[in-house]
Amino acid sequence: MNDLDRVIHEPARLTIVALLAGVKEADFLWLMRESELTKGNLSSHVAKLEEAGYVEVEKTFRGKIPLTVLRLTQAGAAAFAAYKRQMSGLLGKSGGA
Amino acid sequence: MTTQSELRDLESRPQRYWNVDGIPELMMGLTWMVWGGAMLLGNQIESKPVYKAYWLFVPALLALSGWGQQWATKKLKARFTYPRTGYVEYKEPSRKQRFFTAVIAALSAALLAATIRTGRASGMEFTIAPVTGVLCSLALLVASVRQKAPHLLALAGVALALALAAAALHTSWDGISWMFLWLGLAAAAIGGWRFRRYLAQHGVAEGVEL
Repeated sequence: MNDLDRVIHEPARLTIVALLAGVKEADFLWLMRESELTKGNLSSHVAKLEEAGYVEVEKTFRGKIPLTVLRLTQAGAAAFAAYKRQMSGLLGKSGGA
Repeated sequence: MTTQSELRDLESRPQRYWNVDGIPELMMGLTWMVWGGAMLLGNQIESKPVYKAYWLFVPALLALSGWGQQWATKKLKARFTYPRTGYVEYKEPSRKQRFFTAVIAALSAALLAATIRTGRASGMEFTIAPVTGVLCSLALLVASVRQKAPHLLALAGVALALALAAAALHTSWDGISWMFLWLGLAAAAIGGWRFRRYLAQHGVAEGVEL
């Protein structure tokens, strides 16, 4: 259990990573709606994921409207895959006990 | 703690998001109506040179309509969906998904070839419409399950009903045109209704940025 990636293990961050794992990229609005997190909460968790190198944030414009695009980095995708493997291993062990 | 099934649900949400607004069904329906209409119109032409020129030009146009449909769907989503519920760019299909699609396409082609081969003796024109309807129904059923989209299941039911009707009415070549026309109308109606409901439920989001 101690080997689990603490950055991803936090439920809100896990939700963000799992959502981004299914897309090439998505904007802040979509992520906010799907994760059901508040704007401030999502911002702080995304900042932590960006700091860990798991998420890439690009600020751009759609016409005159500011647009924040997020995508999972290779490191983020690898960390998420490893986390899922660890979790299924743990659940397998506890199920067999 | 987030469970494994919750994780799988989260990962599959982008796929479901594609169907959130009704635009794909609306555009698919309009495309099918154009196909059906073009085929019906082509069969009504009496002048031989015009008939030949029509069938030289129209099939290529119909083949290109698939790209046109994709282009229009993306444009409409950029105009209506992304400012309301967010922008998503989808991943390229994986090797496994491409293989699965190729297998389905090969099976469909084989089924169609078998129908043509066996149909020659017994009058293929009477079997082509029901077989096309069943194939459309199966494709919609698979899409409904994969994308967790119940409205596509309704369309699969419509396609199956049209296939049964074509078989019962013993329709000939025009049967396939009418099938696309009616199926297109059903898809466009469902898509249009869902699009209208989506617009009513979601206003343009303002001031959402990181």
